Amino acid sequence: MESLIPVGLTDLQGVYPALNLAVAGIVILLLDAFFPMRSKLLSAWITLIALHLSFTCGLHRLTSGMDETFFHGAVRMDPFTHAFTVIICLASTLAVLSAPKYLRLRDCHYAEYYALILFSVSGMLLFSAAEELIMLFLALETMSIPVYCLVAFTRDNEYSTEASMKYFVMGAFATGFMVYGVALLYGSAGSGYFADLPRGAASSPGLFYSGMTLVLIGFLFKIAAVPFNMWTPDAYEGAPTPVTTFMAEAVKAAPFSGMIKLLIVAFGFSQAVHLWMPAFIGIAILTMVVGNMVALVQTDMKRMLGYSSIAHSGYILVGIVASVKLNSSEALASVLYYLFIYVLMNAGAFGILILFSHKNKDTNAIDDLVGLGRERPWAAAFMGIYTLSLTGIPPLGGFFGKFYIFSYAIKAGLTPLVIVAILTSVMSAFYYLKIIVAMYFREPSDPQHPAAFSYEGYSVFLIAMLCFTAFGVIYFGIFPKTPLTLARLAAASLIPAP
Amino acid sequence: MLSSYLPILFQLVLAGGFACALLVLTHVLGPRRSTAVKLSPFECGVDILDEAHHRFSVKFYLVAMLFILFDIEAIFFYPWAVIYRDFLSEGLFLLIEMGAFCGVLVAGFIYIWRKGVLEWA
Repeated sequence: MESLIPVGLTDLQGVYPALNLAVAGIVILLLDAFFPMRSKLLSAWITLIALHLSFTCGLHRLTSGMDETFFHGAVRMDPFTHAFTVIICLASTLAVLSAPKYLRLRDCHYAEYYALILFSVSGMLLFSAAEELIMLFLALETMSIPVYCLVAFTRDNEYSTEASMKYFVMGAFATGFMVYGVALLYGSAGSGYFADLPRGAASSPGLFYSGMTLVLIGFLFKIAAVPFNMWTPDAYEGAPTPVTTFMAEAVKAAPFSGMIKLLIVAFGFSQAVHLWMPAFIGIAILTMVVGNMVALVQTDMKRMLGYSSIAHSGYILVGIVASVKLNSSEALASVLYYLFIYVLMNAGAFGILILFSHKNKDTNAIDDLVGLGRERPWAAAFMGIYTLSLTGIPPLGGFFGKFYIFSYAIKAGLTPLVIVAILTSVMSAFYYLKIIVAMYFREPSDPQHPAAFSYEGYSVFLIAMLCFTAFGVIYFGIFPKTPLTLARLAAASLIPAP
Repeated sequence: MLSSYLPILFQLVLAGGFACALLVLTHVLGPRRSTAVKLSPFECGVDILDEAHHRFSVKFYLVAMLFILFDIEAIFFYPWAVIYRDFLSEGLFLLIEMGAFCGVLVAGFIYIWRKGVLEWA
């Protein structure tokens, strides 16, 4: 008779950031069931506090350099995980802050929104901590399923439900790939632990490499790399804007965390790298080119930002390839820094769309922003900061994010890749600047148009979110030292210095 | 090592081939004598009563959904119950673990109850 796998209080304390969020989610559901209140701000506050607790816990653990394994090795809390805990909690906080105004306008400000976000985030935090295939899969599903529901949160809106259905079917399909890959990997190695997987490549390479391919395809679906990107624009456009914010940041960053860990810990030995590296280079090129090209012709901001987020996945893939090729933690730190800045600037851009959304109509089309510079100079200035940062204009954060990634890629000898990346980012300037042109340099054809810029509904949360992101994009661009030091600390735990 | 999977592949090919062969053969060999009666749709041999596309009450889906949820949760009780006696020596650990599991389940149950999902009238 085998003995039980011991699970003790220390294990539960180890996953405290995730556990805390799950418990807060249940508390919100029960509170709402027993004391239904008209204003759901209590739920919002509970969510913010829970996210804050996880955030500070992650930050504290990151600075103290905690590195321990829990649950018999299935979960490893290393600085890399803590860094993602911080990024993901920050991203979700921004998504929560932007929610109340929009949901109130749509008459669907329910407590369930916050509970679903919390459940999803608790999955994400475990995702970056997973060191075992089953754990990885469970965390992935815990992360994804609430998001499928969130996309359909404006239930009466047919676009919203359609987007949810598409996202669900595509997501389930990707999950299928992943489970199949997990099964093959387990079959070849006889163990689910990442560290044991390379054993499988030696004993039965056929099973191992097909499993590796399937698992990586599952991940590429989640990060919306071309050619696995077709769900992204539809899901982003149909989802309520705060949910799009959540999807474009947290739901994007989390799969990157899992993928980086898997690539380095399990598939980091040279035979495997030789197989996936060329494929990743090809996919990165495709992702950057297709994402930016298709974004050029979009007239809807949400769709455009959807394609631009695909393109940004491409830049991040370049960074991952470079850091594995160089085997340098510095390069990986630049990826983390990029994700951090990306979260800030993207959240801000969606926040402006939410600021001007109305009861019956979203302000999503680029043409809707015509004349914003004159009517609402502050909002236009903020939007300008976000779009310039997304383009990569110095001294904003987006520039330094790209700069670090590209310079490490050149160091790794990936010059052709960098040339494509720079050319496509020049291309991206065209559609980002289209927004600025619309805001500042175009005359509204319809004299009634400025009415679209009235604030319908008011939310301090949203204003705070906009101020914070605009400040962050500028401040962390000019003074990147703090986030970079933390990112280096995190990356060093995954790629030890030679 | 892969060679041990060969019988499975063989069976797959055999099963697929058999199914395809049957389909092709019925098309090639079978006589086709279609009459109006033969071509009309039928329900268990009875004449058609009405359309098949009815609208169901949305409550029906709720009940179906909840049934599946709680049914799947209940499956986890079985393995626990089977091994529980063997691990009595481990103390209360297993009991507490199942208690936590039930706690989450009950929280969900209370939630749907309070939300009025169980009022079917």
